[in-house]
Amino acid sequence: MLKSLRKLRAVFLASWQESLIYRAESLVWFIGEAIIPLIMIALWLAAYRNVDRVGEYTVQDMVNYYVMFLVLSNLLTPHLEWNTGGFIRSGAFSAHLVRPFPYQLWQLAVEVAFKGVRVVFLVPMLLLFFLLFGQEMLGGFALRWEIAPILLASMVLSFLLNYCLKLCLGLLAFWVGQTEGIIESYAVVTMFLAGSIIPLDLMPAVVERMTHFLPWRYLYFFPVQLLQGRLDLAAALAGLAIQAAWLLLCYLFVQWVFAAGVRRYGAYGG
Amino acid sequence: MQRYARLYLAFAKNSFLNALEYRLSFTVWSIATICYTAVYVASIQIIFNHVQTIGGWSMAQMLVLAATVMIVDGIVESIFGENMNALSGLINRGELDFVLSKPVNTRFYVSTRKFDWDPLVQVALGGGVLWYAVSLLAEPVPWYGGLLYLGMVACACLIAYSLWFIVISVTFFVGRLNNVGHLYYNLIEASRVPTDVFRGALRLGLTFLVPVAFIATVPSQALLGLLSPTFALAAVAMTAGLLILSHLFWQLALTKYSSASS
Repeated sequence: MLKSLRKLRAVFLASWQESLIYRAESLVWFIGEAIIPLIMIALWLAAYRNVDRVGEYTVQDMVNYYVMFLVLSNLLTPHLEWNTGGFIRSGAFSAHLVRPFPYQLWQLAVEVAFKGVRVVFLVPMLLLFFLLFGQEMLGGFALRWEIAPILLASMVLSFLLNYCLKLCLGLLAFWVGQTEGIIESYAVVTMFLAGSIIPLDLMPAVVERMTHFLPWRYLYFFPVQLLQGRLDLAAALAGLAIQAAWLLLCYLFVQWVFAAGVRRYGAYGG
Repeated sequence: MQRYARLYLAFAKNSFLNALEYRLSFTVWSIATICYTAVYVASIQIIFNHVQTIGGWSMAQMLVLAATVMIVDGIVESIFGENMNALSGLINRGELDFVLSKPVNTRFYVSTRKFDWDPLVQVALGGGVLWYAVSLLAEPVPWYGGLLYLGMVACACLIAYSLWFIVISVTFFVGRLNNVGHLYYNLIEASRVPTDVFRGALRLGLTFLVPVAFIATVPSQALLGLLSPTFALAAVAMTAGLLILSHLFWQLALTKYSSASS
């Protein structure tokens, strides 16, 4: 156990250094992720000139929603689907199969390391947001102290759940030649169903109810609800339990997919 | 001139044959584009379930804007997209040598070598959204609207291409920055908001400094009969100016080319 932790630490440190080499590229990706919340805030600010409240959201809540969503999605979204697919197609995956620890763990350490650079960008970004929307941004916060540990736990679960979902997507490359189109479709549809374009509780009732039975609601929307103090203790714990159940389900599924995929794997090139 | 027309035809034909080999890719991208259109249109309708107007724009007008973004982006991506995405790689790896030594204008070659047929699906779907949006409009489109719209869309495509080309030319100075071209997609994202939404300095900046306004807001206003003649002329001037600026910048950047390979 201790030994495999040491190995993972080495992977983590190497990836951290690698991520620093690509800091300029990371910045471009980061801007790309910030642009949608930014334009949504601009749209809503204009809309709020005529109304005081949209659903349960005041203008402060709305600005806070997108800023917090941006922070959480940046911290909690691994991007391994492209790499994993690439490894499988090129045959580089073979090298991972013979390593002394499972690919899933290796990639996890890499992803955590690459998140470090994002944190470095988040701080100036938040300052910029603060300059742009100062008071509106902070008004929406209502995290209660008894909810704080649940928030932390839900963030960890969200990262892992996201990791499993994205790994499944990457592993599709075992069966499908070109996965880019599928990855793009997944990204667009889940962006909508996760609430990154419009808060889920503003959606038509049918869609909103549907999202309760899908995993994406629990990635960012649920933690943001905790941050905005929209859930009482019982509801927060229930949400956490559902999140954990999704994680367990997705974990079992991805392990099964992984095993099935490796059996099919052709190891071209490499 | 004739030579370049022939050359372009050959490029397009070659790309078409290439596309025929990857029919599945076309299908999959079509599905992705349909998902994307559905999400986009649904999002606008959901927002307008809660509010009447945004910065003076009604839902139908916002849908015209959405359709315009899809059309402009689709055209730019099919003509220039694959080329732009390949360009920073060519510069980084020193493969631009092979282009520079060809008996043809370098900018023409690196901008148009590959025609991507996939984004044309987006243009078609954008046309469908436009049709739907126009049917929802409270006021009819003025008689000159259609023609002016086409002109402004053409300007928008050239402006978007010039900006994309300028951004990628930065690779000559920075070196290893393969995804710098992705900033183009941010430009497209930003153009999804009517610039009327912004106020003061930000609005001026988005009109003249980073001319996001001309990508979709101005063409939409042309169709809706809301565009002042001054702005129509400004769009033409902006197009000419950016084409010239991107040319000058490319010339300057080319002197920094280090030809990393061979």
